[in-house]
Amino acid sequence: MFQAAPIAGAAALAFADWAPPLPVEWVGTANFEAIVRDPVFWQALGNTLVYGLGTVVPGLAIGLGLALLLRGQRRGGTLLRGAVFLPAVVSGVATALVWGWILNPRFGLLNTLLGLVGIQGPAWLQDPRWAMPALIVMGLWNVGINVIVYLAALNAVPRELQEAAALDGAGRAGRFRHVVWPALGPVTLYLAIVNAIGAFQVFTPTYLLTSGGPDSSTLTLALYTYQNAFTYGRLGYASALAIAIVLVLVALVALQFRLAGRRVTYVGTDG
Amino acid sequence: MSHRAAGRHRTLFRASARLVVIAVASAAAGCGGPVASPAASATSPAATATGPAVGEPVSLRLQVSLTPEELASFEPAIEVLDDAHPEWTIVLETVPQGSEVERVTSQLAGDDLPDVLRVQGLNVQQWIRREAFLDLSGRIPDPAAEFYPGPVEQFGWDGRLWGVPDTASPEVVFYNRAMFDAARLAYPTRDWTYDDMRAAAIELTLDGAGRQPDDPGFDPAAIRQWGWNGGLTYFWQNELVRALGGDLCANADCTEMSFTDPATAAAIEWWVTFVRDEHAALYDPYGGSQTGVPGDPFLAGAAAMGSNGWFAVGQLNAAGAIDYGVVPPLIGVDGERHTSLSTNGYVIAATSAHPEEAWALVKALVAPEFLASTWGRPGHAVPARVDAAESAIDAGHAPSNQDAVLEAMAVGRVFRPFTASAFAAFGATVDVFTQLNTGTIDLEAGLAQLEAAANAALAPDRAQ
Repeated sequence: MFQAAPIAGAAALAFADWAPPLPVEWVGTANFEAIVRDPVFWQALGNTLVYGLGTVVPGLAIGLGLALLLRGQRRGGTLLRGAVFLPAVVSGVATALVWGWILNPRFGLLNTLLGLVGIQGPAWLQDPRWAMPALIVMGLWNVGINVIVYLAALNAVPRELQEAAALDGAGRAGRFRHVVWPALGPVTLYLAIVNAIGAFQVFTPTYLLTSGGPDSSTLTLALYTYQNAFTYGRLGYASALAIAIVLVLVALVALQFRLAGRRVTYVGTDG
Repeated sequence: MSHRAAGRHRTLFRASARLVVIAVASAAAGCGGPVASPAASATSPAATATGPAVGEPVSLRLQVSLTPEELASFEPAIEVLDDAHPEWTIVLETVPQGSEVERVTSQLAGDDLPDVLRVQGLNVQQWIRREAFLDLSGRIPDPAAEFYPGPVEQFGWDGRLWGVPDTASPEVVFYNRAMFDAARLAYPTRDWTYDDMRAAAIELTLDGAGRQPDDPGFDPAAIRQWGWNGGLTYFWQNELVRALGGDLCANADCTEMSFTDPATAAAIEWWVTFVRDEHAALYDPYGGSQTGVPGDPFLAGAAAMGSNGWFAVGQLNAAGAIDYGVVPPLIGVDGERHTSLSTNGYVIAATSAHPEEAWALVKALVAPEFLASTWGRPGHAVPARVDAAESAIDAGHAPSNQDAVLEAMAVGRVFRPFTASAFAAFGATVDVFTQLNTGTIDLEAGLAQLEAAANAALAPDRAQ
């Protein structure tokens, strides 16, 4: 009820023009036609795709790498796993504010460290060329969830398969390539989809730190939707944007299934 | 659609309105689960009251959005006011600075508007034109005589008055005495024109090696001190264009804009060359990409002069690091002063269950003694009532030439456009201003682009 009713309401509102307290006016598909013609929408979509590419693929690689490192860690393993996962449980607002300080061009930690080695750091969040890369690095801060999921998946890779590959002469790299990696396929596909959905919903850092700027370089779809609803008072158009995000995501997930789904091998699930 | 039909639709959607807002917020904020809507969080016991019993005080919700300095003096003043009026109980609700539009939009969608709201002038017209507030026409016999004209205009529409201004903040010219002394330049005077300012600003602009823009080897990428704290960077700075003989507004409420009119184009070019070619002002004055510090370059000590709102005095005094002076707005090519005026004022929700009590509260909040005791001090806006403004601004405190502020109050004009699509138009044009000022687009193409984008965004308002 609390999920379906608002979604249904937003879906209905996508076909209306509503600037409260004025009455709702039904406008058919006009909002969606306007989206197609809206250059800001396409810019926001492009920015969101860049953010997604920048966070999803490296996030998976870093997550898997850290999971492999932590898997065999006996001494302090629990502490390290906790440390890696910690950013994922910290409030997004707190994380954004901490990063805002780290990336402060004049007083921030990052530029101070760069200054120690003779590099003058950029203005990060105030520079159109660096704002999106900075946001992507912030996005990778939450890689802990990937690490935990990969750790669980690594522990579930059948040991007998790895032993059989070793008996056949496979080294560590060979065992990873031919046994472990294929076994991680379903989890990787799952994480890729979940991370892509998360990337399309990125909002907190752009809202708090950049407001979509500078020069609209960090304007994402979620922020543009919010701006239309609560800054421009165009609730109908914002609802249409929200539906458009869902449609784009569905298409993206379908594409992921099509490209990766056939290569995924499900190991040890035949009962 | 008739208002009766509107009422039916409003009723139909009332139950689901908050849920819809939650859905949009969920999609936008990236939350999988339901989130608390601003409207829901703003609900107070007063909002759900069905009406007081006879003899009980009426509970009035009063929503404000204030700077920390303003809130520090406003809250105790409200307590005193509340104690003096046993007929009501004021429930003060504060909105974070910058969140007013979001909050009010959510409240309108959820039919949860407080009885009385103190709103920013730039935001208020979009709601006035949707008749979200009570028509207050006739309740003040002669608003034009009691208040400065700019603030009153901000709350008018369709020949009626929809709110009562309480404060305004005009822009005046601040200058940094130490920077002028170092350059051995005379301080600005009340007779300065824009050309006087430009010439001084170029002298005051220095790169990391202390070179001025006209010096060989001047490095525009390494400027450490700008002469002026910002160029023409968005359309609400139209007074800078009007001062030079142009006007971005092609009609009265500025729902049609012109950037390509020859006089306007020449005025814009004056500013663009000031930033782009002479490097004496910034193309990103508030973002910090040039100064390294987000916020006003003058307050950060990175600009020798600037046009700032009066509220800047509070921050300057608190920081204490800048020895500054203030002069009235510069004299334009027509011999007149032109300055922007940001305003605030009170409106009463059209849905208030206690409109008469709410009006009594508004009258108390804009009474001369309340305004004089609560506003008009450094860090605050200036009372919009003529009698309260003059009595409230204390000439005993720095800067001593505060008459500049009163002069600016008298000539200040509110930001235009201020209709419902103004923010959308701002969003569609602000980047083009940056491109003009950085030279990534040529002037002619940029002006055409600005005109097309602004007028496309404002089209729905022109139809009203």
